[in-house]
Amino acid sequence: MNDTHAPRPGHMDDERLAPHLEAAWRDEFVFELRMLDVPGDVIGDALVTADTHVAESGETAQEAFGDPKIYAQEIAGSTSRRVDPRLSVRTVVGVVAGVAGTLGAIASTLAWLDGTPVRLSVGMLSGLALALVVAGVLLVRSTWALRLMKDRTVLAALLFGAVPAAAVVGLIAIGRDPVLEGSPRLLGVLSVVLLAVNALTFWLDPDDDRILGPGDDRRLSRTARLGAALSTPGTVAVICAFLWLVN
Amino acid sequence: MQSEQSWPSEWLRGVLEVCVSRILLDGPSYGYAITQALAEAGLGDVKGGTLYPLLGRLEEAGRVEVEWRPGEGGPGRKYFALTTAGREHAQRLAADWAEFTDTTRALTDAALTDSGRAS
Repeated sequence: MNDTHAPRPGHMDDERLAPHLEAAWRDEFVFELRMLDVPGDVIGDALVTADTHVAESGETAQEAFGDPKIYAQEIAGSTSRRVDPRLSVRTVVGVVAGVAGTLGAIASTLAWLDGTPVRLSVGMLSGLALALVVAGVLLVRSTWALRLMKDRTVLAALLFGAVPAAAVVGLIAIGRDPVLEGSPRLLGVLSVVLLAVNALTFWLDPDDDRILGPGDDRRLSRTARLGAALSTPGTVAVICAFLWLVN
Repeated sequence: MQSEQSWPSEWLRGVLEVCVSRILLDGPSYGYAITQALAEAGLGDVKGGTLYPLLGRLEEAGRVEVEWRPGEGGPGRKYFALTTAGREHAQRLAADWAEFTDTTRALTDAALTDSGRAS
């Protein structure tokens, strides 16, 4: 017998893969498997297996499989397959370019609208460094961060959102001494280049670990790759257009 | 056969691989059908939460291979089949289990006799 799968058209999310499982049980199960670095196709297989079982037995997922967290640990323990947690150089370059390009594009747009040169202050550069550190921690310790967001949402919101944001604002407010002054156009061009680097890295390495059911097409569609690649530049374009409109 | 009997979970944990392997010796099967076969054999209500991790370990060890087959109007079924190594392992397990139960019964059957005598 070959490890072949019955054909299933297209990509399906976990709800469509397992419609007979209670949503809360399914979400908890998927979350725990993600926390244990189980690959998306293994998660999809386990979801469909559980779904077909409850559909035939008439049991609830809780009755058939017990606590979703414990069952997820059992499933993870029965396979050696894991997502490689290491970050590629390409991903790091893409994220750094994305953060720097975003801040640069916003700063150059504001300066261009005000008709003033871009002034980079000590506070701005410190804020940029802090934003990169927070982004780096979230990338390197993503499992820990996700666990904290789920279990202690308020603490995570403070730690990853409110506190760094306040710190960046504070740094910009305190460190107003300019260290660099340049034309908005130059910074704008530089930011576009950085955002293009960000788009290119995510196009080449789209970080694809979707939950796939048996027989789902493993290749990411061109549209999905384009969406992943253009998410940051697209968001920045919307922000800059908004700034221009409200000016 | 004691279909209504609820066996201690420790016993079931020990014998489950032997019994599931034995069922798969008859041919490929899927999870729910395996639980039904176990129940019919008198092992009680074995839950999916116990069965699938065992099947996953057997697959990981190369003793079982899987195939998804389309369901009838519903989701497909995941069929499990013993590999050649799995068949040999299943037969060895059955032989070892027979020897084990002979050994334990040689000891414990005396309790039945003693109990009969006592009453």
